[in-house]
Amino acid sequence: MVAAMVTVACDTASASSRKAPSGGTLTYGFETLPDSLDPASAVQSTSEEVIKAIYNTLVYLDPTNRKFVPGLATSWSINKSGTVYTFHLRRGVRFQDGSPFNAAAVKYSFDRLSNPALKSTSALTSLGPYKGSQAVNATTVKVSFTQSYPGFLTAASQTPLSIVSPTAAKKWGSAFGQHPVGTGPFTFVSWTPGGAVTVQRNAAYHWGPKITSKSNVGPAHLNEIVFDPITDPNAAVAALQSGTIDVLERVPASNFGQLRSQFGAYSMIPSGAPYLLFVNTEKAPTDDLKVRQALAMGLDPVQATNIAWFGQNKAAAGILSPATIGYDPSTAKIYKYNLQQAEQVLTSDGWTVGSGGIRQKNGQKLVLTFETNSTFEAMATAVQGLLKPLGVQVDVRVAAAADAATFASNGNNNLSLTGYLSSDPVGTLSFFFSSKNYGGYDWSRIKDPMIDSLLADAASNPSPAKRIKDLDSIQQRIVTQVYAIGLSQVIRLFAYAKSVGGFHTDTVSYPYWEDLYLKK
Amino acid sequence: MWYVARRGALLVPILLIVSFLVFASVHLEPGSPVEALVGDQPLSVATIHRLNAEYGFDQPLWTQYWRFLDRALHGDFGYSYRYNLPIWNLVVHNLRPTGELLGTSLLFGIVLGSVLGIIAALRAGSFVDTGVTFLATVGLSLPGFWFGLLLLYWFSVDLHLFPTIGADGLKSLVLPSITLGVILAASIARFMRSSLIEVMQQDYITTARSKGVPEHVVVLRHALRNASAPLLSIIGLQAGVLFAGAVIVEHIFTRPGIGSLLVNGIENRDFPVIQGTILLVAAWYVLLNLFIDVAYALADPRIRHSARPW
Repeated sequence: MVAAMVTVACDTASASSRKAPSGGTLTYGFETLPDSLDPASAVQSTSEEVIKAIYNTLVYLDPTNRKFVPGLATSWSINKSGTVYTFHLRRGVRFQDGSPFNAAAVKYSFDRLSNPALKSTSALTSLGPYKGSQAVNATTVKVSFTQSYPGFLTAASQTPLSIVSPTAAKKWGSAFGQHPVGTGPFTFVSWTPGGAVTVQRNAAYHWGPKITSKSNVGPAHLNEIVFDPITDPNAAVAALQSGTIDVLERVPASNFGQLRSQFGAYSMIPSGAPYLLFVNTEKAPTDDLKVRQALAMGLDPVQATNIAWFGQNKAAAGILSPATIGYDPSTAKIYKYNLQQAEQVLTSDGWTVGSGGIRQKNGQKLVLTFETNSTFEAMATAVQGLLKPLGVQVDVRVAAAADAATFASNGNNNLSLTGYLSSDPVGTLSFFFSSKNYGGYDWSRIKDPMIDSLLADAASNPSPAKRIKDLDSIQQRIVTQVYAIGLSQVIRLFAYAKSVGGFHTDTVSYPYWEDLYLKK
Repeated sequence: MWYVARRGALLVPILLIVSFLVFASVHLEPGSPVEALVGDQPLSVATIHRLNAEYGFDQPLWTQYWRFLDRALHGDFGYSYRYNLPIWNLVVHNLRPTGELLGTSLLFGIVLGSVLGIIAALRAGSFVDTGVTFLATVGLSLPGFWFGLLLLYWFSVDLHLFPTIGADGLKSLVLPSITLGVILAASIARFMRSSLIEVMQQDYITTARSKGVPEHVVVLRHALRNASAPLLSIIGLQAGVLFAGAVIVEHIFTRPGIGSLLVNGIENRDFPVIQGTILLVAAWYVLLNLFIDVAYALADPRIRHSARPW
């Protein structure tokens, strides 16, 4: 049984969401400008949050038990080989432009993803080995794949595979991203370029997913939501304190402790990969397994996390976040923090402590290159400081996010750092550890046939038990070979005004907009 | 006006050179914009290759530049890679808030700086003079980022006098204009002070006084007009600093504008946006300096009547 590490410090004692007061405008502050409100094209997580308000998906994931809950599909079945999914669709659903929701709309939403004009990234990838869809009748659709795709329901529960209005998409073409139309609890109103997005309650909405017993399945409580991008974190905190915004996501850890006293506070650890230290297996000195093992034993993620996160976060415990399906908690026990043991490993490998306290071997100093972006600078500096007593010198360099990512993808770092939000464990592990992504996000620079074959099996084996076993083996292999070291959880910190009620989020940290209300 | 036409014609070659330099420099960076377009989520190598082909990033540099130039000459400055909106619309839409900010900051800076400079000059050597000079030095050394945040916290969060974010209405212009205008005010104050002191020592001032002209007319009509002419050059020079400051101020006060557009474009490697904004800024710079040269010529008859000022 995997313990659900979702820490909720919100107002759970509030009245059932259904009886909540109606009305009001809520202003939600986030950090990055959305790029597009077309689920096919969007890449920013902030775009996905707004998409979640405007659209629905076929199914939803219950975060407490990892089971799928009916969304636009009321029931579904999968054929024996896992290549055909049959969905029975809800009746009486309409898009916000009045056009009917039916099997043809589902087919259209999936077929359009391969159109190059949409430049689809995560949506097209999550469609996997898609062959096509067939609208059997108005309320039944068969989705087919060229090979077994057990991860499809997870993919279908995420925002990139939201169902769009074919009428609107055809009408707007590539401008659909600025004029989105879905079936969701909120209708798009306006979007100031480079500025706020406004959505309004969809009065006709009564088909919301019953994810928890308190889920609001009818029309949203709020009249309106204004999504306000505020790029400077200090300005964002100021906006919350002055009452200009009602909710702030990504509260800086340094402010979170202080804000808790005046505001509602909510923290959660989404599913996916925590902040991982990828160790380059091709570049000296980290190409040496002994050096990597010493790093795993000599770096205490608990200390690093406390330093970098002002005590507001938990250390990572393995390669996946504990909220992810298939997370293997045993991986956290493989290399326990033990500085003496780490020192012994290095010394016996020929790395003796030289001048300035830095170890060297055959005239080469034990220096690690660590280029990253400014968001991760605190964690990088913590790692740098904590590895010094071990005699390891870490050269931290800060660059623009895209440049740091390219630097890592080209194999120039010894250490690289990032996290990843996703409900799909196979997708998450493939991005970072499949040899197909060598030159891309395979920052450990591995081409490990064992991991590749395990990933292929986990992606297609019809037996869930076997797939879980594959995932366990992959995680254990990554940890024992020290391809990556778990550093800190990806924690999402939210703060909201006391007048806000019903605040909670899904597994990838997007709020349930339909449950939010403003207290009278 | 031959002079104006000649200077105006310079705009074309300058813009061509700038456009090529910008185009070349953004492509010198490692990686293609696809890797930056990725946003929060990593992409597989296969997807990156597919997108490179779809956007045409795998074409040689010259081909890409030529396509851009060809379309630009037809008024099409392309589409933002990230937002899929026409560049022209994005730039024009963002002109207004930045224009308002620069306008009010200029006004604030010129008025405050001139007043302080005049007071200091008229009371040269006194305690007031020392005070103003000290303030000007402080103003020049203030980090805009820090000062802006300070104003934000005091007057917006604590006193609720001004909005924290956004660009609606005059109230939202107050704190950003003060932040941006302070540096301009400081340099104008210092310059006005020394310029006026020098002018007040000229013979024609003594002549005017001996003719019995009242002192305030001496200062306002005779002295000030001569002291302010060089001020125009200062403003022209400071225009660049002001724009750089606008980028920071727009970020702190969460105002939309050319500054935010450019910063976002650079972070996202959104080449069309970067090109569009820099071309616009280059054009603005050239036109502004042209305007200042003309104003200078109008203000100072000696310049107007002298030989070719290339």
